Amino acid sequence: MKNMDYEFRARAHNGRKGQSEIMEYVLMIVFIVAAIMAIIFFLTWWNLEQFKADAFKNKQDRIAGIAQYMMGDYMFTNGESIFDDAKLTAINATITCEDLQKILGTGWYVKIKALDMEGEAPCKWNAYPGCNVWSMCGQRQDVTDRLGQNFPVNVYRKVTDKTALGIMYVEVYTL
Amino acid sequence: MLAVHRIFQMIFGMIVSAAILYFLITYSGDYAGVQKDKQRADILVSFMHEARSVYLTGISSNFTHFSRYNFSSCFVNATETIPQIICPGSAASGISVDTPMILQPGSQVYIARDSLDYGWWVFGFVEAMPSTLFVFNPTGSTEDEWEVMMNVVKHLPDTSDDWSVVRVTFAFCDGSQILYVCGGKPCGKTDFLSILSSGPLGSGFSPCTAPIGRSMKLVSISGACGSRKGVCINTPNSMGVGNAFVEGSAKTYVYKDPLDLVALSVGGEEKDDFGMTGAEKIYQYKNSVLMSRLSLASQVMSKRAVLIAAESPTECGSVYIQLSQALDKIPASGDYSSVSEMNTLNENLNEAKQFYQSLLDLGCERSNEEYGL
Repeated sequence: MKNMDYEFRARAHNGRKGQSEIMEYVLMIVFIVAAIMAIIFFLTWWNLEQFKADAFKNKQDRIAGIAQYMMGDYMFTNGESIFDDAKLTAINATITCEDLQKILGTGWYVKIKALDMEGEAPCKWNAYPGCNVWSMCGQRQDVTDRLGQNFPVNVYRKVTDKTALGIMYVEVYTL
Repeated sequence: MLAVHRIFQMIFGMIVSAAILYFLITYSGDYAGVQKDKQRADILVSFMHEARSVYLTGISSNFTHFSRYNFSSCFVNATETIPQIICPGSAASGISVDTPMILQPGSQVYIARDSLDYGWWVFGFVEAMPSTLFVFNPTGSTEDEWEVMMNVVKHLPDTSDDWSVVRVTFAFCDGSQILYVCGGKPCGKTDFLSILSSGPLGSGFSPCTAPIGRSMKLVSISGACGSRKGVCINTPNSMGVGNAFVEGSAKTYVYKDPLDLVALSVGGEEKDDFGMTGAEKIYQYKNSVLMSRLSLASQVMSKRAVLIAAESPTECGSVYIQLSQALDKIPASGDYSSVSEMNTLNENLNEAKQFYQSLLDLGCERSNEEYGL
């Protein structure tokens, strides 16, 4: 009787010990998996944050790219970065936004304003040369994800043969 | 004897370890792949920034980040919308290219600005190429052939700057020999141009049979190209239009300006997995971009001429109207593979250039020099 009692106690003791060892083991694995998951979550979060930062940087790059392209292209300028008012007026009268988007991609808006006049007079065909604002591709009010930047520029006034200071505003959208 | 829980521990441990290991290997593999693609994309984007800066400022630069990965298969492709850099077999592909460029990838490339001056408009572009030895083989040694070589060399980058890590050099090929005519060394652009400007050497060179290395581009100039190695250029007609041929391609490439010849010479005869030569890819992209921008620029400048004519003195006004009429003849889209169309195009371009020159002579327009160019 005593032996049986001892055997039951020993088995119960062994069972509890086994259970506790398994629990230790499972807990250790849970901690290891949790640590690995934490690292993975961190890396994923880090990358997502990087992508967000990149998206913002890409927009800024795009703005600079559009401005630089226009300042360097003779279809818009005379020589180094001097916008020609007659060319800009001709572009407004001739070239569609789709044509310009084939060069510079979609989702952008550009406004150039010569500062040699008070107020804003859009340069339509019949308004030249008494005008000072040129817009390309139309500003979109329905898009909230946008970023814009101003650049100081020179605008050559063909008729008066003078160069005026101006502002070029470039805005890009995420469509 | 092992206790039950020990057996359970072992089996459970093996299953969990295998699962964790599998997951970690897969994840790190994917992560490394994504990071590698991101770095490749970053390198292409930074190349685009560099090219854009060179395009705007005209200050040449070295770009050495291509040495990090293999970009040799990358090329600029003209699409229906904005052109893109395509790198077959890489996820880092399809990056938009707004700067017109002639790109020949290499581990280190030199980026320089160049332009085609039409008088009333200038087509600006950048060239990005690795160290290359251009080997010319003018078989007839005529003035026309020399002129063709001059046109090609003039529009290739001058890498004589001390800080340039790339060398674009020149030599002749005569039969089985490469002739280094600048003191036994490959010539730089300036030296080679001065040799070319002194007129044809001798009575012509034998067709080139010398071994041409990977960093060399063979350009033959001949009245009859036949089955020449590398790129072979026929001399142009009176309108500056002619045919060119590329080894391994049955196509005939029509050239109408020096940049066509540069595109073919730089691209060369090396083929990609789809059997397309480098020459053809650059030539197609260049013409697609040039023709579309030429068309837009001619429309804009025609309208500008009409706009200004009304505001100008009489002697200028009439020339502006003539310029506008000449520019209106430039087609909205031309078939750049047709000799007759390119003859007509060059005729119209020359006519417009003359009218613009008249405007400069009359003082109605300022020259590029007056704008500080």
